[in-house]
Amino acid sequence: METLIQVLVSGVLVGGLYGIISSGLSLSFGISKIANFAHADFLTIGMYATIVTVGALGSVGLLLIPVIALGVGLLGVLVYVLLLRRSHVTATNEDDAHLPQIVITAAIGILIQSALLSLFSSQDRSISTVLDGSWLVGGISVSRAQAVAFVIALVAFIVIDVAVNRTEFGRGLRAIVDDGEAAAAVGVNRGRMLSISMGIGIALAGLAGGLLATYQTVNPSSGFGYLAIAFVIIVLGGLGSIRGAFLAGVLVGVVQQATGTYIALDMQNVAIWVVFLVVLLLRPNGLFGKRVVL
Amino acid sequence: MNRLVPPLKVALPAIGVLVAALSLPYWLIQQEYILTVAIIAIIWAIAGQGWNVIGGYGGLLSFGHSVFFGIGAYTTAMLTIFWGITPWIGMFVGAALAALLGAVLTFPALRLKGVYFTLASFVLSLLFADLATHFREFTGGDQGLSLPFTRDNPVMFQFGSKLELYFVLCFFLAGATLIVAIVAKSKLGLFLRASRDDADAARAAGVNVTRTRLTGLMISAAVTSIAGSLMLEYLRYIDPLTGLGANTGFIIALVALVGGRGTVLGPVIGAAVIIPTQQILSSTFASGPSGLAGMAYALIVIVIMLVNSRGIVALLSRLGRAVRRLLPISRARTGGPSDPDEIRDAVETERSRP
Repeated sequence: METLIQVLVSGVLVGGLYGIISSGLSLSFGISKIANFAHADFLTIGMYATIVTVGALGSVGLLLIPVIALGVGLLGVLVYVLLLRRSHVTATNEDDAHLPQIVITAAIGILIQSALLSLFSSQDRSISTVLDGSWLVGGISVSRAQAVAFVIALVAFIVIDVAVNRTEFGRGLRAIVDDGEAAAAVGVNRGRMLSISMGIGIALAGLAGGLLATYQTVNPSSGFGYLAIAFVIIVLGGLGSIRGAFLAGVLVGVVQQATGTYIALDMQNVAIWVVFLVVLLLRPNGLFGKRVVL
Repeated sequence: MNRLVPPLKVALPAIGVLVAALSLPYWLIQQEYILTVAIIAIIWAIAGQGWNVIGGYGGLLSFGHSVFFGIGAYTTAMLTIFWGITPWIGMFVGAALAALLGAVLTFPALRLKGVYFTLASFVLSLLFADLATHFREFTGGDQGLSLPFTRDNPVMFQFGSKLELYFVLCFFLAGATLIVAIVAKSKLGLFLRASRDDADAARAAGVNVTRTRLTGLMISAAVTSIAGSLMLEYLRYIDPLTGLGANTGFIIALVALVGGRGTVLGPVIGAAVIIPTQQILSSTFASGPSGLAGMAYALIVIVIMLVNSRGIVALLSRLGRAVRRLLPISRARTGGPSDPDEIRDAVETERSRP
């Protein structure tokens, strides 16, 4: 029983992080239709930026994680504007646009990993902060860093959710998801919205990276492991739905912990991959699947 | 297979590749190290040719061809290690198994559009890598499988020198190129392209899209699987990182995409550009920080995709047409293009003219 509760707690805690990584991906994917294969590598940038900051400033540096997230988001906008926007404009149909975008983002991922490798070497790094250690709550040990990271992730998610569902800006975004052409016709600045959603999505990845760095060892390909998980989650959560993505993120976190604990540690992703493939084939609109919700 | 073009013309690219590759050691490859690079490039070119059938002509952007590559490598390795069966047989058993899995994948290939097929294939490659790592009694887990060492024994695919292995691989590359050329000029190739460009219209015109993709995937899987077996024979070992997983899947797709998807020579040219760049850069920068080679390689891919997303071959043929337009003599001789891709390119060129 205690193991089960432990599994649930750690699953939910890690799932919250999956939640913001995936709602970020879902946001950019839903708006721009770009399947960003470099999404998780921006997360690694957030990890290293945090390690460098905390290394220089100590635990105070943790307060700068939101700034780091913002910086990563701006970098994402830059990459989008310089490398990806063109294929949107020149493509004659949507499939023609997808292919170069997927290949370019995959190459950007390799570029980021290689750049981090030449800057920081392949050595595992970690930081120690005031968040080290854990609390004992009724016989269950809860890592402080994980708990704090979860709370911040939840807050970030709520902020984004409110921004998307309750503001004028969010209405524009949702209009683009529903019908890009029509939205543009009624005066939504599509190009700017695309850049902004890309930026917010990647900033969320950067934030997740900063939070993960507080309790995980980091190497240049750390983030890449989250890529497939994030894609799995956005498909399970219903494409373009950021709420679905967050919920599915928590669910995937729990399933992963359960498989890792009860079956075998190196099989912890197998259940997820299989569920993903089955869901994709049988319910392409996701587990919570309305057509497109945001 | 129903040929629409005379056999010699179909075989021409394969013969060209064979002659060019066989001649390399006599003028270009003077060092053992370059030979190693060439061997690796040839193996990836074969894998890319396999990818090309369904990824290029069929239009299904797969990041999961490492699954077929790995099946070829692991099947060959297991047959050799557990039963002492020669790789000459093992690689075709592997190819048959890969083709079988390819047939199973027809279902997602029909159901999933565009990027969703890519995602499914990507996750499938991770699934296979995880499984190969877990079931270590068969696959050796993380360590992988190593082949027993037997000196100079061509029956067991063990050659006296790297040069001999290289020559053997040249024939495999020519074979793969021939297969792609036959597919490209056959009805299958026409149907694959029709299903790629507009599956519904193809169906309406009487193309059996299911059977087309089934056949395409099986051929594609089998060819890529052979490349996996060859990689095993060259390295003498295989592990999940080399044989399976995301990186291998990316490389196979990138080789074909950079060279030119849906062209007979694209993957060969792509491999000839990407693999030596990557290998030679990583040895040049061996003293500097690692990662520079990866950066250069990623930048090349990005630049080529930005300049012409149809790859180097399309870039060259566009250049060729531009040059030909400047020469008034050959203009009259040029008939209209017959290949759908050429037509598309010609239309685009026409449109872009002021």
